[in-house]
Amino acid sequence: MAVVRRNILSNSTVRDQYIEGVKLLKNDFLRPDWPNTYDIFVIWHFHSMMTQTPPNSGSGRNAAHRGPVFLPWHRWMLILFENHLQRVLNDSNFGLPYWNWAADGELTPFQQKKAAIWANNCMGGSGEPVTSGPFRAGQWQVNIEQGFTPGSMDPTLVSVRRPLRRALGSGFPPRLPTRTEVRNAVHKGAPNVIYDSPPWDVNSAGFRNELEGWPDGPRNHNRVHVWVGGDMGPATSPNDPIFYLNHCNVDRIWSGWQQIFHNPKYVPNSSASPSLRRHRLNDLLFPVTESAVFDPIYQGRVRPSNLLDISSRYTYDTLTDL
Amino acid sequence: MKSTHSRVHSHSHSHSSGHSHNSHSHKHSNKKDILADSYKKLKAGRAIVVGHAQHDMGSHDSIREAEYKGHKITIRTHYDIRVDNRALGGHVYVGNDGNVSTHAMPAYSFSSTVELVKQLIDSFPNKFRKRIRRSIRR
Repeated sequence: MAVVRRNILSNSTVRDQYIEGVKLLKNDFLRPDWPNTYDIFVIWHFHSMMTQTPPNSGSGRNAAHRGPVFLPWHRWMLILFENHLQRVLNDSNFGLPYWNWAADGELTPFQQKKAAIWANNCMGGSGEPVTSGPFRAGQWQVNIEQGFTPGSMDPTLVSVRRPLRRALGSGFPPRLPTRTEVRNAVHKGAPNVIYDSPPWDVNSAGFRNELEGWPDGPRNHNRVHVWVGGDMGPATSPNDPIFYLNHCNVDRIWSGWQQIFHNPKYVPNSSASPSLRRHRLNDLLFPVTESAVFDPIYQGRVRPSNLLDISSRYTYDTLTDL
Repeated sequence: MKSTHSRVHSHSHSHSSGHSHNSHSHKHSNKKDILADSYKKLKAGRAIVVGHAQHDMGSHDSIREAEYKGHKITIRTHYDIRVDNRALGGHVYVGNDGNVSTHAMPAYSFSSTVELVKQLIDSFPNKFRKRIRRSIRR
């Protein structure tokens, strides 16, 4: 039966379950030679981001970002994250909540930093380290952070033991995306909307790139990462539990777009250039493992075509704001 | 449980140093367990290096491609960046709108590479900590 994904601010039970669940995943070990389950997602995200597609890509398109696969790859990530939360919470009806950041984008920049999502009983506040809420210093530990290759700005992964960092209100202008910006992304080109287009990267016309937030960016998804700042900035951004609430809203917006425009086709299709491997309709997405212990649903072998209709897995409480 | 699939593929990677452009090919194997390998390295205090960051050789080129009135436009951009007289290699990508971005700050884009480097310094101050020369008097 499909679970319902809800606005985290509309349901305190789901909110508290989410907080409890991510903390349980930090102490959950699927195999003795693997990191904890929460950190597996951090490592997976980093590896996907540093895997260029194609390997000599001059555009920076990688196995999960800056190209068509951005939305399906993260949909897969969220499905698995939700599945592990259901397991540790022992609640198969648990639906991953989302943060409707565009609603906060209607507030003044000052109010945005004080919004309910950052309350002590929700995600907690800002700071380096974060000192309030359930993920404050002493209650949440970052185990993996971004390092650097010597003499290079290209990142590596390194081991640390430190609290979470946030710098709410970062970026310029220091504000979240608004409802109008989201609606503009959803309805751009209507009724002849397109999912993506050549050159299939940050320069593309289409819904994916608008929602990812590259044109005139950072906007939409990208702007949320930048605005939260701190650990939401680097390739290890899943270190902050707000990462999943952001991406669940991104996935909700994609679901809304699919529904409003009656499932526009995913492109590029299977006959597109091999240089688009990992991004085409029937390409295997980038896995971190093919073990069913981590991925009991797809065993690490899933394609965009498997992720376009998710109605049997989950629905969203509302899409009417889109 | 599904068995581990062994896949070996080769790819070429082009990069440049100065004004010369080189390319080479090498083989990657996905046979290893990324998670076990990563965990082992992290526990041993070693860094995990992935993708083309594995063989950093200075600066890299950004390639923009566009089509206009039947013409194919390709623009290759090379950066030589120095901070405190020390070379800072790695990938800087230029979008068709002229904005630049880099792996280390994956959601950011900047209208200027100077702004990009400033943000790197702000976000990762430890990487840019100046070496302080101390004269030792005996």
